[in-house]
Parts: sequence; C-alpha cells; structure tokens
Amino acid sequence: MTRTSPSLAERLYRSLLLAYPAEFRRTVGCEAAHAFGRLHRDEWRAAGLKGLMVLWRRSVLHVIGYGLKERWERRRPSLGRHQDPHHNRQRPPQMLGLVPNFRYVVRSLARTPAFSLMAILIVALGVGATTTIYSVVDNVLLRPLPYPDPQELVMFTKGEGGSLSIPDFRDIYDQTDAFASLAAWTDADLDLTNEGIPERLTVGRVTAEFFSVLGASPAVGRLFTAGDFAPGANKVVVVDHGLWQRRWGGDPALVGSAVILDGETVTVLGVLKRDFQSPEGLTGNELDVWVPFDLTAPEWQHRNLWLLSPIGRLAPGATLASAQAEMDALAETLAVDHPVNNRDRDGRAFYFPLVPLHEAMVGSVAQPLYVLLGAVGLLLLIACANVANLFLARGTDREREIALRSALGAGRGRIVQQLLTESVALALLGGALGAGIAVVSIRMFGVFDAVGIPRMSDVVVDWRVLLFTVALSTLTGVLFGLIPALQSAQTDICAALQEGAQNATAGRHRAKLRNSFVVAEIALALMLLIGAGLLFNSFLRLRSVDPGVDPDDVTVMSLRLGAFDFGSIASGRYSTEGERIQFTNDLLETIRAFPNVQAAGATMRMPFGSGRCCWATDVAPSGSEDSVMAWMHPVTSAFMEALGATLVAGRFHVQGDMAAPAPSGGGADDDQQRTVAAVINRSLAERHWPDGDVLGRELHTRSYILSIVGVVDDIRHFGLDSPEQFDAYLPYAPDGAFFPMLDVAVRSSGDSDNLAAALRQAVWSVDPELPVSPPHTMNDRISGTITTPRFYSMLLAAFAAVAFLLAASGIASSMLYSVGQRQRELGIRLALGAQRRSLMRMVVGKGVLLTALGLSVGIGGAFALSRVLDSFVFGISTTDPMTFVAVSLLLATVAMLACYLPARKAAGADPLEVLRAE
Amino acid sequence: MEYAGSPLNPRDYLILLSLSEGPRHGYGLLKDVARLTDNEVRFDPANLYRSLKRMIKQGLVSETAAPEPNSDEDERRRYYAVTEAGAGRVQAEAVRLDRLTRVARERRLIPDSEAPA
Repeated sequence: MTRTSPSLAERLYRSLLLAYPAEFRRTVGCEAAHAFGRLHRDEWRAAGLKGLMVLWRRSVLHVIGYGLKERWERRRPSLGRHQDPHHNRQRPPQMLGLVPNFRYVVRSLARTPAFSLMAILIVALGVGATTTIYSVVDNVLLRPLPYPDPQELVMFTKGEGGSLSIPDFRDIYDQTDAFASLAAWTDADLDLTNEGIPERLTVGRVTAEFFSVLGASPAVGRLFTAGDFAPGANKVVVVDHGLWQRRWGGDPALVGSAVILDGETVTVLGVLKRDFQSPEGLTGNELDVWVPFDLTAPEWQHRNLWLLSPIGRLAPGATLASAQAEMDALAETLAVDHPVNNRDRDGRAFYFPLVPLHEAMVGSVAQPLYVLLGAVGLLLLIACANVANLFLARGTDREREIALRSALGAGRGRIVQQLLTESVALALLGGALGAGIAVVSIRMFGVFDAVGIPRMSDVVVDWRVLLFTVALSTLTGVLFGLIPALQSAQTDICAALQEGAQNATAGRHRAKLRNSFVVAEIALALMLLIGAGLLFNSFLRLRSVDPGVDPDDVTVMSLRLGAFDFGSIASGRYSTEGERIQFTNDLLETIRAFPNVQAAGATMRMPFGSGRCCWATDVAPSGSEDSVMAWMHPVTSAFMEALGATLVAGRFHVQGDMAAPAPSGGGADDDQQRTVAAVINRSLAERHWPDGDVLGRELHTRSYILSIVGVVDDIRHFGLDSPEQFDAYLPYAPDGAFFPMLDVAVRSSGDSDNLAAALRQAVWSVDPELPVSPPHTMNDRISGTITTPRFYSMLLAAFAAVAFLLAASGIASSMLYSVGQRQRELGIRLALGAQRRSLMRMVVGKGVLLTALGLSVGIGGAFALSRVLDSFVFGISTTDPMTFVAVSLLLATVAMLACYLPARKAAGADPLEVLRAE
Repeated sequence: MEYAGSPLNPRDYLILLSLSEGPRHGYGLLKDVARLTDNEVRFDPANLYRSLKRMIKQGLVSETAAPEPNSDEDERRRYYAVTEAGAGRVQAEAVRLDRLTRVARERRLIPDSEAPA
C-alpha cells in the first residue's frame, strides 16, 4: 500500500481532534487520524453505511469527551490522576483551556445581541431538524431490538414473503439443527364478551417456544409451558400488558380467572411485562392476547394452508449462511415430496430465505430514513454556511480589535482559539434550543400519524440523542467558525490599525469566501428544494389517482360472523354458511330501509384495508391455457352501487345471481366447477379480450366457470400506489359466506356520525351480542393508504422551506453587507458621474453570477443524487424536468429579489451623504 | 510506577496484553484489542494514543522502531512495545484475574459448559 493523501474521513477526524490540546495533536494527532482512516475503511467494507454511522457517532462522542477531559487534566495537574511535571511549562494555565475564555466570549457575544441571536436561531433550526431525524434513525434503525441477544434472531418466509403451512413448519422444526429454538405465530381476531361492551381483540396463536425465543417474562402469573399445548389441555390465554391495564385496570386478580373469548371460557394464565413487544408490536400493532397453537390438531395438517410466520434463534455456532444452507437442502426435499404446495408456478422449489429479525422489521424503512437524514444534513450545512457568512462579515468589523490583541502579544493560535470558542459557544446555545425544537417536532409526529414506520411510537429524545446534539453542535460550531477564525487571524496588524484604511488583501479574500458560501447555500438549498418538489409532486399524483370508487358519502363497517377456525372453536352462532347468509341478508335489508340510504352492500373485506381481502387464483378463458392470476372478491348485490364503482359494460350483480349454499357446506375447494355470474375489472377484460367483446364470455378457475355479466373500472384494492391487478367479483352467496369476515358499505346522503350510530343499532337489532368496530368513512380508509408517503413528503417539504428561507436570507444579508462595504466606492463613482442604472447593473450582476453558479452546481448535485429518491416517488421521474425548472426558477427569482433590494438602496444613496459620513 | 501491585485499569490491561505478543502500531493495537474482546472493546484512536502517551510516562510502554519495515507506510508509523515494568504489571494483573476467576468458578458463577461452541 502506498501512502495516499488523507481521506475526507481522516480530515474530518483531524478537525474533531481540536477538542484535544494542541500538544497532543502535534505529537500523535496525525497517527490517530491515520488509524481512524483505516478503521473507517474497514468499517465501510464490513458494515456499510450503518457501520459508518455507528463509528462516527462513537468517535465524535469519544474524541470530544476524552479531548476535553485531557484538557481538563492538563489544566489542573493537581487533580489529574497522572502527574507530569513538564507539560505545563510553556504556557500559563489560563491560556490552555476553553473555560477561561468563557467570560470574554460571553461579553463579546452580548456586545452584538442581534448578530448572536440570529446565529443562535439559525443553528437551532439546523441542529433541531437534524436531531429530530437522528432520534428517529437512532431509535428505529440503530438501537438493538428489545430482546436478549437480538442479533441471533432470524425470520423467514416461504418464497417471496409467503407464510408457512403448519406441516412446512413442523418439517423445519424437526429436521434442522440450525436453530437453538424456533417458534411461529399467526394472528386473528377474537371477540371478548364476558363483561362490559363486547370487544374485538387481536390474538396471536403461538407455538410452544414463542416466548422463550423472544426472552419474554410475565408481569404476573406465568407464560405457556409445554403442557398447555397438549391436545385436550385446558384453554388458556396470556394477556398483553396494554390490554390488562386498559380493560382490567391492572388488577392482578385477573390471573386465574376466566374470560369468554369467541364464546369459549378460557383461563388467564398470566400477563406479559410492560416492556414486552412482539414483532407485531414493533410495527405498532401489538396483539392483545396470546393463545397456544396446537400444531398436531388434525384439522391444521393442510399443506395448502399458508398461515405461520416463523421466528427462530440461531444455534450457537450456526451462522446465517450455514442455517440457510440447511434450509435450502430441506426446501429441495420438500419440493420433491410435495410438488403441489412447495413449488412455485414455474416448478422451482419454494426456498425459505432467512433474514435477520432487525432487517425484517426495519429494512424497508432504512433507505427513506437515511435519505431524510441526508436531507437534514444538507439543511445543517446550509445553516453552517449561513452562520459562517455572518461570522466572516463580523470578522471585518472586528479587524481592529483582533489586530490590537495580536499587537499586544496574542499568538495566531490564541486568536483562532478565541474565535472558535465564540463560535462553539454560540453553536451550543443554538444546539440547546435545537434540542427543544426536536422534542416538540417528535410530539408533532403524532399529529402527522407516521404509521408504517416500525418502532416509531417509542421515539424519544433521551440522553443518547442529547449527547449526539451536543457533539453535533460542537462540530457545527467548529465547522462554521474555523474558516472565519483562520481568516481573521491572518489580519495584517499594521494595515488594520491604521485609521480608516481598508485592508485590501484580506478584504478581497474574505469577499471571495463569502461568495463561495453564498454559492454553496444556493446549491444545497436547490438540491433540497428539488427533492421536496419531486416528492410533493409525486404525492399530488398519488392523491389524484382514481381509486375506482366514489368515496364521498360511503361509510364502512366491519363485522365477523363466528370464528375463522376450521371447526376448532366453531361452537357459537354462524357455524354454517346458511346462518351467515341469513344474517347478511337481514342486516342489509334493515340498513336499506333507512331513509337516507341509497345503496348498501357487503363483501369479505373492503378495498383499501390491510390484510387479506379475498383470494387469488389462476383464471383462463374457456378452452385456453393462457392463465393469469386474479383476485376473487365475493360481493352481494348493490355492493358496487354502494361503492360508486364505474360500470364499463353489462351490469352489476343482482340478488338473483346469489345461490343457496350446497347442503354439504364446502367452500372454494369443491371438486367440480360451478358456473357463477361474474363482474370482472377492466384490466382483466383487456388482458384476455383486447377487442372489447367481453359480455357472455367465460373464464375458468379450478373451482368456477365465471360467466361474465359486467365489466367494472379498476378498483385499487391494495392502495392508491398499488400496480394494476386483475379482479373478478363473484356472488357473495354461497362462497363468500365460507369466511367469517363481513364488511358492509353504505352510501347515504345523511350525516355520517348519525349513520355510524344507526348502523351499530341495525347490527344489534339483528344480533344483540355481535361486537361492532366503529364504522368509518371510505375517505378515511383511502387516505390511510397514503399516510406514509404523505409523512415523507411533508417532512421533506418542511426542511426545504427552512432551507429556502436560510438561503434567501443568506443571499440578502451577504449582498447587503457587500454593498455596505462598497458604499464609499459607490459614492465616489456616483459623484464622478456614474449612472445609477449602471451601478445597479454592477451590483446586481454580481448577484446574478453567484446565483447562476449556485444553481448550476445545485442542479448537478440534484441530478447526481436523484437516484436515492427512486423508491419514494410515484408516477414521476426523479429527474422530472418540470420540477427541476420550476424549482430553479423559484429560487432564482427570490435570489434576484434578494440582490435587487440592496442594490437599489446603494444606487439610491446620496453621494454627498456617503462621502461626508467617512 | 506509583501504583505497583494495585489492579491495572481494564484498558491498560488490554493494551499491555496485546503488546505482550510483540510491538504494534496504533491501528494494529486497535484491531488486536477488538479481536481479543470479540469486538466488545473498541478504542477510539485518539483515546488510544492518549492512553499510550500516559503509559509511556508511567514507564509501562515505550516507543520502538518498526520491527520489520516491510512497507513504505508502516515504516513511518510509531510502534509501541511493553517495557519490563509493563510486562511485570500485566503479568501481576493476569495472575490476579486468574485467581479471581478460579474463585468464581468454585462458586459456580461460571457454567461448566462455558467453552465456546
């Protein structure tokens, strides 16, 4: 390896070393920075961006912490643990530390309160925004998951994101050695009906090792033991801490008592500790209760029932790669033994890709959060440039003071140290304010409703984040203070001390620096603005996507008729399709009789919800093998009318399309195909019959012959940003009633609050014991699918707005200042007969040049960075020329205005006044 | 050596332990300490040099020439080695720790199957 010039990392680290005394830097600073550079490279290779984040955070804290400690120990040798009789000889003690400067610094900052306040506010904005996002990144991405040895935990899926069947899981459990323990869970709904209002609970059915894999322990009572999973064991349940507090007020007597879940009496075994979070809980949807899942029950032994989410702890000595190899071998065996359910459509085995739990939980939000962190980083840089410019301008005013101090014997290092102390002190004050801003902003996230980001609910500003803020503020202070400080220290003493003389060389140098700060500010602000513009634009497009329904005046209500349990707790009402269909008909009839209701219909699960709405199957035209995968939705008559879907051809379902259930029960898996009336969506119609002649044609699935009676415009079932899909709508009766889920949509011209109350009454008039979740509007449902993009675009827009303000004020103040500096020159020119117009042109021309330079750098930067936004935007290119042009024009206009006003002031001045003032 | 015989602070112990294998430069020390402790202890470079400077003053460590200048770069680096005093201290500390570990094992604080899998 040959010696290369120090990397950026090394140089940054060296500037951090300013925290250490100069003597330390001189003797081993270079060595330390070099070692850091190599660590930095190692870390990048080993752990990528995340590793670097951790390294930098640790290094910043350590260098500043230990550096100040070293200074302290040297300053007060009598208190230091390790005495050195020599080290203090060169300088008197008060010259060594930062502390003795403090009084001087406070005096000097208080002398120019407007300047200080301005700088503090700007730093507070930058540090506050950065701290806010950092606290989210820290909590969501960097903090280990709340389990013992979380790095050993892995999850896996079947193929891409599929759940496992129970036999799959049992095979893996029995035939692999890679896991020290292995568990799985599946969630469902249960109704709690023993006391008070009936309540819908979410339940996790878990296998025996679930709690031990996660290292959970009870707050009261006990968790499951092996005996609880035996066939015929007493029905038991473990309750989540949240539900315990909410429903039973934390009463320990709950343990051992009986509750009624889905009509069955179940004994409460114990309550989990408050800090327990299941993997579901990490995503903000903690389950309410947990019940044992007996995997040996005969009704679960279907390989086509994909249900379980597994979680395992790697055995000692096993690595992700070795475990994966073992799983791959097993997957291939399973594909041979069970070709129907363990091979994909192309005949390849379904593998079980292992993913570390941490990645499975937060992997999808890592990129957006790092992009946001990058965006606030840009904002902080803009703030630094802005404050550095203020300092440079002030440096000119303080030239004489500094010259006087150096004439009296202060060395260059001493003056740099003095000025740096000032800037760091200012930055720390700004940082304190910024921490306050961060605390408030994180509270505001609750308002934004940042769903979709796991672990978001427990983001707090704690000591870790505060340490980061302190380190960041210090670094900020060094960053914006260093260049102006070095600049000031170069002042030519003689020239500066001469009354009224302009220090031409230093002045020109300083102007150049100021100009480059302005260019940097414009460039950075433009990059942020373009990013925000793209996201905002994409968000508008997302909102204007046609959902395929007319959501105004539609209210939705979710019900569940009996248990989705394949017979194991099907003891209550609604154990047959006939009972469910009867209930559905009675309820819809009651609702349709309401005065303001125009239409009411039902399906299994309404569009724009989470989770399964329907089932997918292969469909092909009769007599053809050209099949595509389509979603099957069972719907009642008047369902499409209630949603306000758009009929393209034919008709919607009518009551006459519904059929009575077959006496044997049975579901979608019947052996022989049945002919049903179907409405298909436009995409499916165009896929098979591009020429448009669709009505009366037939499609085949394994269980049905779909006789097409109508075509409907595409409905975006899975959210506005979901790609186009193929849908077929079947009569609700009989097959929709196979499933217990029932969602009702009602179109009504009445007040939605009254309607919601009336709907619950309608349910209870048909069945007084049925729990009803609060009805909600279709508009709420649709906007629920875009909260995450809305959150990101709002946040970026807020950063960009701040950046915009900072850049504009930076340009304005810089121009104002340079015009002020040139007042005398401009006055002379005017007196000598220069045209005001040409003076204006001269001043504005310089501003135009700087703006143009900044814009071109910014456009280049935005172009180079555009790819990081790829996964954020919808329906728009990340190099969308319209956005680039519009945002550049906006910034250019504001920059021009910021130049024009000072220029007009300068040109409008009375030359006599100006010259007299000298 | 103002504290001869007293326990050595854990960082110094790790540094001396690493250097007992032979002279190293700063980066080498950082990597070796991380390796010795399964990545649990990761010195910040500046803090490592801070410790080294102090240990030089205490006479536990000395600067030395590169053992085998085989590359342009490493030749320029400062190498550090254990002094005799340092070797004595690290040995004393190791014996002390060993004694304490034996007590812990007798009291069944360390599982018998402690061997790494």
